[in-house]
Amino acid sequence: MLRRINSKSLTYQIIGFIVVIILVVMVVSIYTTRYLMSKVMMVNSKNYITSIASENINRIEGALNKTENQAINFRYLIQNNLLNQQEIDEMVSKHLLSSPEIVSCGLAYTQESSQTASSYVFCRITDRVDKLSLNPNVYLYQDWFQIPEMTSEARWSEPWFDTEGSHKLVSSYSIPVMDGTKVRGIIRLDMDLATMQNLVMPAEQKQMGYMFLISGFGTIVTHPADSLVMNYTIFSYAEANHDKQLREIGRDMIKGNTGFVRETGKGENYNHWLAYAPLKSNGWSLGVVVAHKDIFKDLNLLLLIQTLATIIGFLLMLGVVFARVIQINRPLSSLTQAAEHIGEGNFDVPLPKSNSFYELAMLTQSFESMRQSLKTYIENLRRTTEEKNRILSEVTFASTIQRNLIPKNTTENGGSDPLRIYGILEPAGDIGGDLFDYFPINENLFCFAIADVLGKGIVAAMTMTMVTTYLRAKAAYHEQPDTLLSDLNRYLCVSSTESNFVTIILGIIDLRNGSLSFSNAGHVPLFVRKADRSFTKYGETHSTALGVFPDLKIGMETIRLDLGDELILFTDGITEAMTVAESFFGIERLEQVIKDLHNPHAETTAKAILNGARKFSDTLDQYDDITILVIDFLHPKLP
Amino acid sequence: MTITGRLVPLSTERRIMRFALTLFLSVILSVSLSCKKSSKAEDTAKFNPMPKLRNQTLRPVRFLPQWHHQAQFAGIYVAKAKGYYENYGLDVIIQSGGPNMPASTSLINNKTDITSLFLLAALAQREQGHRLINLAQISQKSSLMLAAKKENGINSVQDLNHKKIGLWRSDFRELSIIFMKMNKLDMEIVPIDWTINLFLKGPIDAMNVMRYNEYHQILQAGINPDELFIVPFSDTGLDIVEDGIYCMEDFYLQDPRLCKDFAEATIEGWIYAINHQKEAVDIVLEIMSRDYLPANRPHQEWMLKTMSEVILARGGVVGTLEESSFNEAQDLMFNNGLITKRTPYREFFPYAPQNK
Repeated sequence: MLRRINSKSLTYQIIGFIVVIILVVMVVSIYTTRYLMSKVMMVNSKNYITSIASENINRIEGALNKTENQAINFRYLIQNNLLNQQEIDEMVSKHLLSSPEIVSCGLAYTQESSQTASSYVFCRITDRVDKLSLNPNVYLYQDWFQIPEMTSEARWSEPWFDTEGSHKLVSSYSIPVMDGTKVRGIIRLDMDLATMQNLVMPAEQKQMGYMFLISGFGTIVTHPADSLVMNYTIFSYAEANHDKQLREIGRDMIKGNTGFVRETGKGENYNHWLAYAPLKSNGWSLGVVVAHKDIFKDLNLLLLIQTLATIIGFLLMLGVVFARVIQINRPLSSLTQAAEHIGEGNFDVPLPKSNSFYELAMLTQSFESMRQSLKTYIENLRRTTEEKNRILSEVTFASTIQRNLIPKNTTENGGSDPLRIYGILEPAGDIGGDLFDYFPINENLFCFAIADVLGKGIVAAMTMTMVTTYLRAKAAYHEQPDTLLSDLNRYLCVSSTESNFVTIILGIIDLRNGSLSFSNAGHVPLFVRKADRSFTKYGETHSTALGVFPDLKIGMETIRLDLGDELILFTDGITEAMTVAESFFGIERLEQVIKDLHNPHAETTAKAILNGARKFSDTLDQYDDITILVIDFLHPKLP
Repeated sequence: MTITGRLVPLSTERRIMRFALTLFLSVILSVSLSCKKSSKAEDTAKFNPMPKLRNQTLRPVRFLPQWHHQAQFAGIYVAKAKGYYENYGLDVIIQSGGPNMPASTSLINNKTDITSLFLLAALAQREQGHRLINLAQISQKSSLMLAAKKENGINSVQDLNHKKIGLWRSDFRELSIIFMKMNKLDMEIVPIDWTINLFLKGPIDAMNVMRYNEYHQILQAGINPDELFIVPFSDTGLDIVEDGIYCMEDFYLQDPRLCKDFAEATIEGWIYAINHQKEAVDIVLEIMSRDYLPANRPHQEWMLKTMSEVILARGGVVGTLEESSFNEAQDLMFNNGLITKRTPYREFFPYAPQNK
């Protein structure tokens, strides 16, 4: 069955069509889902990422604000000289022990205050607090001091390693202590960078992407890759990865802007989404990085499942459709086979019974009816053909008999025979309606006839046979052509066959003296050719055609034949020989042929006339029987 | 005796050079293993590609870079890592520099034997009576630049007038002051340490930067080159050469051979570093990591690349303090009253080329 599935088969057409349509629908559906869902996912992810960023920023800001408030409180106490040094020391020590995020706290005086030697810093070392003095030659040029001193503004410093005090990476919040409009000193609270790093990205948020924190100059403060922390800025990282986009993002981040961008650059950040927002307190910036594929992980999984489900469903459906088509196709195929057998002539082949579906049942029924009709028809045809063949063989037989009735041409004249005769009879069909005949009536009289029976076929042939037989039977009693023909006419009229309309020339030659009596009953003319090549046409008819009127008067004419005279008789098959353009050979052309003949010789003359007519008509089809009879009168009968 | 090498910064030439160096090193190894005593000191000899291993035991010598470990001193680390010092019979101890270990002071106080220093700093020390001498001149061109922020309205030298400029407390202060005098600039000077943060945060409008270091740090803090107004000192008539290898005169006289070996091995280290920058940066980063120094590769690569340009700046003459460079620096200081007496060239740079 599978062998039959070629591109033209019904199975192929149906399944191919369904496959294409369903595939198109499936692909369009999946793409549409993906497109619409990805929009939704993107919006959701953006909200989610932004909310994570805000949440972390709030947490860090909370810690920073707490530190800032403490610094402001200290300044208030110190600026207004509300506490003596011992009280300050106690308060700071207590505070350091109760605030784990602050590792050290100090006060440094400006050069102008002349108190640089009194500058100090408290450092918490595990559970005790040490007070260390600060070296003015160092601190006066350190960022945490110099920048707030110059700007008279509170500042958070870049992360730095405090080699003098806590020996830790810290970010210092420095707040100037004012003496009027002049900066007297700087209070500094050092926040442990590790504390800040722990505030970013608690463990539960590590499922999706990662976060990083950069300082105001882009220094990477926290990042999952430890090697980057404090070693790289976002800009040097961008430079290392030849990532110009990341550099622009970094510039936007340190400007304190908020953004949500797709990072398409090279390196590890390829195809990531980056949300960033500033820490307002210290000008740092927090970034949340989520891989594009992570955002669409669930969607892609969903689509994968959908695609797989669709493919399985599709294959199942394909199987079912295939099976069904095969099932439907099976009786159709049987029907086709039956049709092939019927086409080969085997009408008895049973047609498959089909209950599958209405259309096929109808088709089978119609086919069955056609088969029955064909069977009957073919049976009839067979019988008819048999009958025809039988008739045909009979006709052939009749034709043979007919030919046998006609005298055979012979060159054997026996030397003393006064006549030389040559006849040609070429019927248009198997059997013809023309005839010629000649026979001696007695020792001295010789009878000849040429006739044309109306119509063709078997009836004409039978009539011709009747005519021949009748003439031969009755000739001895009459010896005159007119009476003989009258007798024949009566006989034909009485026998009332369907086709008994006959034109005829009948002649009787007296061999002793060449006297020729002949009657022309509606036949074409007779020619008599002389030895000097002149000829006479005897076109007068002595009656109408025989077989119509029983009381027909028939005349007769008698001429004398000289030695060497040649009688030329023919039927209308010669004069009415047609060309394709339907013009007739005619008497004039025949006369021309006769005029061109040489010495009288019956066979040569007959063949010349036949060739003349044939050459003229120049067609393979012969419309009418052709009959020619030529009789040379060689000499009178010797006594 | 001159320590010279011709370098053409073309890849084909470099490949030839690399091949020559490899060949050279293998010769060194084979020679040093087979004929140890063939090499008596020949102080007057020209630079000899065959190094000598005088003693089986290595002679210890301390070297202190004038700043934290970084690619500015790549040749030293490479010479050590590639075994060039060892080939010259030296056991070089590379000390850690930085603001707490000032190079010139350490040299004077004998806390180190050899150090790197800027030429002007060395001349200033001589004025103080400390007889430093130059063993090799690394830098052949000034890397010093003045950087200002265009956003503060500085687009020309004259725009610097009445602005705040941050100058390092330790070095180049005088050179910048000379520059200001030359351009009749009245600027408020803010003494700063090594930080660029004052410049980035805004309290100062301009500062000195070294092309190989601070300039690139500023770029790595998110400032674009087109946002900066830059005056390279090499374009202002103040093209004073910088990094050189120095020791005290006493130390040199005690063992001139050791000093010469150190200088030669160091130059070899530099040539290798210039021709193998990636490998050299790996070596530098390794040392920085050992000292817990913050480091990033792009910056060290930039530094080495820029240093290479500075080292090869004068027709490829590597390692030599040219008399013209020396005179230019000394004249500048003398004319501006920074020094009162001149030092003869050959006294300052004993490996000066013989009279031409």
